[in-house]
Amino acid sequence: MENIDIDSILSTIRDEVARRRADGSYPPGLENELEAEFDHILSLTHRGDGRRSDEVHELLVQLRQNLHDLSGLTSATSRIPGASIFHRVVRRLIARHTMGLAAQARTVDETIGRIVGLLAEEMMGREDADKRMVAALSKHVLDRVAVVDHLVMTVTELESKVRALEGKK
Amino acid sequence: MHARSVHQVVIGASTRDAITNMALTMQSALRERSVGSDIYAFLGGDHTITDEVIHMDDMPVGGPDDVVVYHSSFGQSGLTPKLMERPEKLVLVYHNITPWRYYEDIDAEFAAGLKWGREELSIIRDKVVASFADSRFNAEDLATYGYEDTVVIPAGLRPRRINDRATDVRLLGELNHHFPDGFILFVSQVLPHKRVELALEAVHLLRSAHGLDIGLVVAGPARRPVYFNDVKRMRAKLPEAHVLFAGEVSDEQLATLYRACRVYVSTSDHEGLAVPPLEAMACGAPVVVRGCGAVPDTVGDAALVVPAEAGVCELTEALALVLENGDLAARLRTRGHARVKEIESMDPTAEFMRAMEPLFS
Repeated sequence: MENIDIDSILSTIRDEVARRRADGSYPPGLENELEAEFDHILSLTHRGDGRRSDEVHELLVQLRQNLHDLSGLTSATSRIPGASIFHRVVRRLIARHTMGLAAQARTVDETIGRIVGLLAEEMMGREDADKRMVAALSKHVLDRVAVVDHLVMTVTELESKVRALEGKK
Repeated sequence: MHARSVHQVVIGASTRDAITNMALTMQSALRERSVGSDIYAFLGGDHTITDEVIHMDDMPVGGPDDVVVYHSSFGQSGLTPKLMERPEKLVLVYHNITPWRYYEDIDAEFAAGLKWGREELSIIRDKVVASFADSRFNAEDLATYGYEDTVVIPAGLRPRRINDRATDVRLLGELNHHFPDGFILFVSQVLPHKRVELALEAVHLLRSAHGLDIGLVVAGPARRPVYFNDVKRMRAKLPEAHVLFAGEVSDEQLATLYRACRVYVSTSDHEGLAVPPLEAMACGAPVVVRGCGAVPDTVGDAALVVPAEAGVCELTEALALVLENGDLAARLRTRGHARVKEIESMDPTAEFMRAMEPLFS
């Protein structure tokens, strides 16, 4: 039996691709363009994969931690000898004001935290609903396909019976 | 053989599924040897299954002399403990589990099943008394989970499974009407790792750059409707992609498609065995494949294997070469028949039975 020289064929294929690239039948970047086109289609469809809501959830945790750390008091330590006493004195003198500002900031942050929390819940709810809907639709479609398959088989059987009957006539 | 029963366990079952068909062939061989053998599906069978496969809930408990052959291809967390609890000897037949990276962005649940399937390989390893893989590629994959001495046998593989099926004359008429100058055939479930879009792009280039009036038939169910819609969107973007999505086809229709196509193509990124190219060879089609996974081993020197790293332009040229060079197409057909004969002469099912013999005594 005659063997097929695969190496020689592959070499011919490579030469032919190079020739077509040179004469413009395969424009520069054609493969990348096709790949990018399909990737774009995939990126449009495959939304709701949970990454965004995970990101929002992480930011919410971070916000809550920041809120916890918000005291209105700054550190009084200093590398300059004796300066830490000065910082402590100043901190005590303005504490009434900084702690008041911190309380206001905390109120704002708590409101932001509640808003972000509600948005995160909403996002996760929507993603779950999307997944459930896709699963329900897929099941429905596959059920319908099974019914159509069954109908096709029934029709085919009926046709063969009709042909057999016609043959007997 | 002394075992009272050698039952098989599959995840799901369909007569259109290669693993189910392999299990059915093995079941016939076991029953011919008077060994009790039923097939149980953890998820049950689809509409194509009638009495051939039983739901796993109805699987009787055997004894330590009995054998359960588990066909691994996916993971179901509910199945693993059931396998571990059983008193029978556990034999693993590994058909490969698709890497979950293809699905983590589009179907997290399916990806989790694939991930679990691989974790399961580690969990059941100590209980498995013998492991089989249907390709060298799969055996190497299995070795990474600590399975040593895996026997490579594509048990139940029958490339001529549908050769005796009648030609569907009506379908043939429709194909001739749709594709007067012929078509390229792609047989597979429409799934992301099968890279259907590459076949679409290749046909687009064959028509636009080569001026060939050729079409593409994609035969196989769309298991992931979201991905299928993406593929259809891609077709809409390629004005010259003359494609027919045939969906799930009967064995008669499949045999007709193999016989009528001008070339069979596989663009898959990952295959543990690849049965359709062999069925295409058995039906006389010249075969062009991408050399990914177990595909090069499966097809041997009987197909035009385009390197896995090659792009769509190389794939297009390979298809053009076979379409335009009648001599090459004829040689591929001849080599294809020889490859099928070679596999049949090995009689993988009988070889599997011989390899199982020590477990029965």
